[in-house]
Amino acid sequence: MRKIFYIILAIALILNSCTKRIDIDLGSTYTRFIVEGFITTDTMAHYVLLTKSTDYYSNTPPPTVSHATVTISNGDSTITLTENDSLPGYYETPSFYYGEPGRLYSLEIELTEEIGGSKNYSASSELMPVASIDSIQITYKEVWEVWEVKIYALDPPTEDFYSFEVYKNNILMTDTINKMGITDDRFFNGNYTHGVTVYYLRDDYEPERVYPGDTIVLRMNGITNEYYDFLLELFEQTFAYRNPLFNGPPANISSNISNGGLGFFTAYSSSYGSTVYKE
Amino acid sequence: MLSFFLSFSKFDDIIDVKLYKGDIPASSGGRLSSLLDIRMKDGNSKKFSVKGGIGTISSRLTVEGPIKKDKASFIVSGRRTYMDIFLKLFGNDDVKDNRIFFYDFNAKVNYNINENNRVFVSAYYGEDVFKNPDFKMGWGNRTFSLRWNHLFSKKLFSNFTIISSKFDYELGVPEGSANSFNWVAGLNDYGIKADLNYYLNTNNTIRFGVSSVFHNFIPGAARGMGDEAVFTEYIVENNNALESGIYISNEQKIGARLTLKYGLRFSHFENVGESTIYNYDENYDMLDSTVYGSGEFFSPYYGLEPRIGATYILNEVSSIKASYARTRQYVHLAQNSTAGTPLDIWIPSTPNVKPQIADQYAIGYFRNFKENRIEGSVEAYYKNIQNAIDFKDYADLLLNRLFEGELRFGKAWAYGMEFLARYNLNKFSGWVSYTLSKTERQIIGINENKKYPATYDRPHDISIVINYNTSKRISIGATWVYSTGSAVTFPVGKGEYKHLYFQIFSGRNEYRMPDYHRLDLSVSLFSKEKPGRKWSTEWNLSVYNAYYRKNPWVINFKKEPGDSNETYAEMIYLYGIVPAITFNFKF
Repeated sequence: MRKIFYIILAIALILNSCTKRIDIDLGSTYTRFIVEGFITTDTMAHYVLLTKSTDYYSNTPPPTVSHATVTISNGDSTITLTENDSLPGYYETPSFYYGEPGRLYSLEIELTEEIGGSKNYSASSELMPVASIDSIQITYKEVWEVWEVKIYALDPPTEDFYSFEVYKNNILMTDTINKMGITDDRFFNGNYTHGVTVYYLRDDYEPERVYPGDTIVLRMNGITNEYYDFLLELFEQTFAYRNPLFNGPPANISSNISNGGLGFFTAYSSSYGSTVYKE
Repeated sequence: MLSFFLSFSKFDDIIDVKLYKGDIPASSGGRLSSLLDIRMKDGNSKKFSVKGGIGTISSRLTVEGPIKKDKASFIVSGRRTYMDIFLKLFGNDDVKDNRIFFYDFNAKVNYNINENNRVFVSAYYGEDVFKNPDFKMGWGNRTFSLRWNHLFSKKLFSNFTIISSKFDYELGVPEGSANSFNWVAGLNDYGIKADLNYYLNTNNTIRFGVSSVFHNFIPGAARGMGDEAVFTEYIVENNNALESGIYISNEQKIGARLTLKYGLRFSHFENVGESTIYNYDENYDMLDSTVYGSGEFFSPYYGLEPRIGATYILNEVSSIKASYARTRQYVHLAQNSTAGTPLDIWIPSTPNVKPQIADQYAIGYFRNFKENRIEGSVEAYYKNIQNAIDFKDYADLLLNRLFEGELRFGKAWAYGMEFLARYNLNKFSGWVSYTLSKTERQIIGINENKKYPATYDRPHDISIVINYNTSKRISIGATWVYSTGSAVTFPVGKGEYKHLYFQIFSGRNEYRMPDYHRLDLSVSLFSKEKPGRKWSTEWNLSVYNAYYRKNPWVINFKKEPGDSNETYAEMIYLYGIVPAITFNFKF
């Protein structure tokens, strides 16, 4: 709730001052190695994307890193990922691959040349289990003009972290990662969630507006504490209304990649719930 | 922030301000470095007088006079700015629904009971308000003091004082929408003190006393407002503490040239329940909490604070000074933001937060020129602070019950040189000052444990003040200030995660904001002086920020919308050029 106060105040303040583009010389910095990788319980080709950072004012997309050797181990067996011919930088598992809860997944990367002072990078993530969803519900919240996606499920007594994504009529509404809903279980640990709101769809944005007959699917992911913290920092940094009244000095987003690499390699499990909206 | 439009012009010299730098007297405690001592003047005990000014940006009025001739007098003074009205006149549509104003009110009454007893009562009330239909922000200051000045004998005199002060700020969205809420935070102080001066002989003046202040901290509470509000309450519990001190000092003259000031202060600080203290592990994660009952004292801190200073007169025009002071600060001011704002919170020392201890050394050389019409000085200082506080990366301090877990501790140090020349020549008067300084800190858990400049580090700081009296009736003034931009953390690179761009930052405070500078000008036209005329008037035309310097308040780094990879820097600045006309009067 505190975050909402900040957001309201930040927006109001930004609307009340003068802005101007300004030239600030930032110089240039050394290149960092960035990893984006996932292992989930879904059976599919999972990918690991390797890219490099650029100087702040660079206007090119982040360069991808090819010809690396990328392996993933689940503790018992190790597979080598193959780089996609048409998508350089994307290294994929076979399409029948899936993760299993309780296992520790380890990523090893060997580059053909040094980036950011190293040729070798690694990361690991435990694949956390996730509760199953009993049912979900869609209701309209008039004061905020949003559709609330509510969940009915039993949270286990352990400390759990969740992320949520929503599909409307098979189209992913969570089309950028910062639209993802995330929460810890501080307010319902070990309890039955009698319709806690975990996602909002905007009524004033046509693609998200809900009509009778629409099928809504909620995907709930059981994520690690470290990945939850990473997402929180990523969202905070990319929040459009950063405001000096409330923000302390900015800082780099945490990462689980070794040797000063950036980004995140994570494993998680997913469960699904769906409903058809009726008036 | 808003109140800097107000300046005490020479018509309004109602207060005495005394700034102590290195030589902090033993009678004062609780602050680490410079101390600003503001004391309102006594009202005129002989005759009534009124002075004031009416202006486009602010107005003020001071009335003083005897209540009972030579026995009791009063002075009352009020000021108010009205930036909002001014902005409307200039047709600035963006701000037409805004209300921005500052006002304050001062009153003092003094009463001479007899030769040996005098009583002073004074009160101050001030408030800054910024308000529009979507947003409101305000902060207020209230002080009340009652002082009894008593002469025990010709050698021993005393002051007994009761003080209460209240500072608070308020933020929110005005009533009438679902988003309406109100957020208040502040600090209340209730203190008593006794200060005694004993004139032992012509060469020794002994000062001693005791003081005690009860602090009531209100870190913040937010709640929804009105019938439609959807918010529930979020309260960070208040906490209390008792801070006390006892001191003795002597000012001793040795011969005609040497003056020594030496003293010792013992200070003590203790938390007072009812309160909840959260306990943290070595990673600053909350473990559990300890609840202290109402009126329960806990977590005492105390220590000695020696102070010593010497002044040696070299000759008729020059002298040297040296001083050392140790100070202990038990109440810490947390400035959460990177920009200067009044949204500060006070943090008491607790089992988790140790008092800050500063050792400050200063030396200075003072010399007058041209028959004392130019006073020059050079001073150098070094300060070392133990248990310095800063905030971890992604700190969340406001309205957070666990804010102590967001703090990190280490050491800080500062050193610098100050050059000052005050001049009072035939038609010109004013001063020029230049300070060269460095303020750094090293905190475990911040910036990979490496040292970094403090946000308020300003290596170069210049101010030039010129008053030019062309004749008895016209005076022209110019003030130019310059300082290095504050130390900031800027992005140096960028990357992408899931198609979301993110910034890669420099080390803590590795970059600088653009330099701050500003020129203010004013012209005053005084009424003719005539024998027997009891009143005088003045027209004053002033221009704030005369060459329209856009000093950034904050710089944001943004990405062009859409698929573009381009990023840019954008600054927010608060004030452009601000002209004003004021009519001042005195009778």
